[in-house]
Amino acid sequence: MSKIYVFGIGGTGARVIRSLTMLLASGVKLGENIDTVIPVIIDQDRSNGDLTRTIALLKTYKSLHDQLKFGRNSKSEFFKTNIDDLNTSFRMQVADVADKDFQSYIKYLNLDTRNKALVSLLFSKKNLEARMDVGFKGNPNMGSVVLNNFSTEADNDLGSILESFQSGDKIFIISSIFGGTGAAGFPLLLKTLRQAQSSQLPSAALVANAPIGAITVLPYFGVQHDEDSEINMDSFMSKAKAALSYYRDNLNTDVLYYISDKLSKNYDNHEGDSAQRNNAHFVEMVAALSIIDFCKNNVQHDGSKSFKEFGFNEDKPVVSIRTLADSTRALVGKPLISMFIFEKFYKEHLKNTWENAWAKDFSYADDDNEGKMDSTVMSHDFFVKLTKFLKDFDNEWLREMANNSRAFKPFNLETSGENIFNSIDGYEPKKTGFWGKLTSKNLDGYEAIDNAIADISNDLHKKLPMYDYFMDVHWQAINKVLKSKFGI
Amino acid sequence: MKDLIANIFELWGQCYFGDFSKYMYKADLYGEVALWVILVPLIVFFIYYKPLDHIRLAKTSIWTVILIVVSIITALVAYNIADTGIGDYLVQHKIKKNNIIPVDYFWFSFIVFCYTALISFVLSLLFKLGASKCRRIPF
Repeated sequence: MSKIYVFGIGGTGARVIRSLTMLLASGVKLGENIDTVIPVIIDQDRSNGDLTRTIALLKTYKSLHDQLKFGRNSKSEFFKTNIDDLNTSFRMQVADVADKDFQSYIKYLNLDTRNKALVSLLFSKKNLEARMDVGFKGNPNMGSVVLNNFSTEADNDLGSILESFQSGDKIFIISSIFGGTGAAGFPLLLKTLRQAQSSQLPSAALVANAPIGAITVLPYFGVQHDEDSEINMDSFMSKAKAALSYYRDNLNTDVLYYISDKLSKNYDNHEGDSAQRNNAHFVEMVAALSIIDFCKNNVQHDGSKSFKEFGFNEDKPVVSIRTLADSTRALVGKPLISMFIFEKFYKEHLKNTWENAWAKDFSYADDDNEGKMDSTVMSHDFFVKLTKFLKDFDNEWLREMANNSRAFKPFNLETSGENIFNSIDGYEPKKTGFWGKLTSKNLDGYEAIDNAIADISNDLHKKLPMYDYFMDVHWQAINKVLKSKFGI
Repeated sequence: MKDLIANIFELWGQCYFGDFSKYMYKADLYGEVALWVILVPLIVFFIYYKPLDHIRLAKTSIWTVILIVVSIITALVAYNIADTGIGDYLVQHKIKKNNIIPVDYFWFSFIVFCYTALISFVLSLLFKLGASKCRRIPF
């Protein structure tokens, strides 16, 4: 099996990787040949809220995946795709800019008068005095200088990441075109990768000739006007146009995806740092889908180029799973519904099921602990992390997308219990009747899942380790119920 | 067989209630009570574990309630069988004097209650083997 190296540049890169992580956790598959994702976020702004939130999520996912075995008897797709950090903590440092302003970084004061004049033409006084450790504040002209330090030599972060690159592996780059870091970093990173052959990297030829896909996120949100901020949404379109005209002739990707949306939402204007923590947006989830599309298609670096855009069935301000095009719905519909139901069940009902047969069947013994599957397991690291991840999935990711504009609102997030299967927008569950309830063929709410778990877990506990058993019985039960209620 | 059933209900002499036990035996009432003690739990717990096997009922608390209700029903039936059966026997045989006291009926019903509970428990252990949702009930 092969790997995909996903480089997320800037805040948008981090947010798209966050959406990708949520999709992979739900069980969206990358394709037949790829089972590992290596996300690398490139952002000089190390305390950026989007960056820190995504890295925390990736670490939680990785810990959960690593504690699951996914053996021969396991069917669960939750957290199945391997996410590896190659000891980078998911972040790549391009240049040492700690405590430096831009003019010290380019050694402006050491330049002679003519060069100083040239630099002054290219960079404003504000640019020169800007601190570098909070990113480039929407200035790609600064980013293109600092990020020009990409190198595939082994003593460099990028080189050490790509040392493990093998035949069949792929590369994907995520960037926005209307900011600073992404717009500048994408062409520079691509150029460095395509020129890897000139480096000492053992896998240099493979990297240089690897299938490379990329998504360029065009403006899809605005920011509040702020006199003191260097970020001004009026320049988003002009910056995007300028970058696109450069991309037209200078990019050597095999597949290039574009995505944009109406600027119907203005975020608070933060130049960077921890305050730059934008709510999740449907466009970011779509951008994450481009990575999956790239993996599923057998792309080769053979000189042919393709360009792709995203579309859905109806142009509505609120998108649901039904609104998505058939192919997108087939890809994400069932996994997202499964994860949503699992999260609700886990949060609201699991505590009532420790006396059920599936839990009583299981006893465990490992190096550190032994005991029964009961409420005491909730203190295990696996369950602590699972609780955290699922909370992020519902309370943050889904809610943020539902409240954003354009909104992605596939579920009524306030519904629970008996009505859980009525909370999926556009999906009508098969009606329950007296006979269906009596014979357990068609029960309501969490009882339907409890019922399916009892059937599935009958002898599964002998075949799986504890955490796999837990995930498997729930995944299989939810999917069984979804099939009987919705035919999906 | 008749002696064996009588011995079981009289706990091999430990709970012999004089005239009450004597007429129960003579009127062949122990056999009828034994039939109820076996059949009622058999039917109820067969339905509970086999055709029904319902997730909503797969709780030890619900199983305990069913066991108690079944045992109470059987005890009441046993009380009634003893009361009417002995009465009829005494009338048929024109026996006007006996030493049966009401508490004998109560203790006999209590023994029936305990036997029903015990049989219910044993049947549960057997039936749960093929069940899905109730396979861990009572434990």
